[in-house]
Amino acid sequence: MTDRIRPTRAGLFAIELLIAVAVFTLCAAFCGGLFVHAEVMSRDNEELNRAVNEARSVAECFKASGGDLTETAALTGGGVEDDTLLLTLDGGMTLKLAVRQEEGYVAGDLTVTGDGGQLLAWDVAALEGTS
Amino acid sequence: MRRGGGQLSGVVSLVMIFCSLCLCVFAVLTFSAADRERTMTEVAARQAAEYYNADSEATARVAQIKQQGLAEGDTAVVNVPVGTEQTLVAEVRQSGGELQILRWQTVFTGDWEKDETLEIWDGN
Repeated sequence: MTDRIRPTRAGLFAIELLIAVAVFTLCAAFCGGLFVHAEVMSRDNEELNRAVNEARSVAECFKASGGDLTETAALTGGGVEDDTLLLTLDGGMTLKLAVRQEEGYVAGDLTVTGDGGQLLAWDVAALEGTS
Repeated sequence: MRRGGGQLSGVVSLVMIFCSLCLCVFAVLTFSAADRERTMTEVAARQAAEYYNADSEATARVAQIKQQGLAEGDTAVVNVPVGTEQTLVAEVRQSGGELQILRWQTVFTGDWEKDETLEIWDGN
């Protein structure tokens, strides 16, 4: 009745190993979450960067062509449908430039939409008959 | 087993602590880099949006000036704020029957203070 179970070195080592594995698993789970979050954020950044660059390029082509949508489409490689320039970008993004004639200039609403919704919306305008 | 376990008992903890620390440091560094990149991207996107919205307004105003008509050789200047610290300055002139754009430039108009806090050893 009075016999005690003496802790052996192997037993202590096993307990330490178990605790180490448990702590490391917790730490790895937390850090894995951070890594995944950073990766998602990085992809979103890349998408927004690409959208801004493409939108800037289209806006400058639109301005340089004096508001001519056909010429803008030829320069950017997009298609024209009902006064709207449509351009499919990498990563499943779509760029739309809907134009309307105003007095003395052509105004347009430039939007880029991705999988997660609208990424950006700008007003662009081009003068007619200026040098 | 007994001998091996006894010798390795402290090493396991040390290796675990080292690995955990490395993992945490790399994870935090990766996350903070992505977060800074996101801030920079958002600022760039906001500045581009502000610029093109201001550019659109300046274009509309210049078109209005063109509709109203300027005397030959006269110039007109349009100022449109771009965000809080910049202004888009457009200058046009009536020349040879058409409106000529002389200037279409973004200039810094925000407040700034000269930094005189840097103390450099003057040799004495």
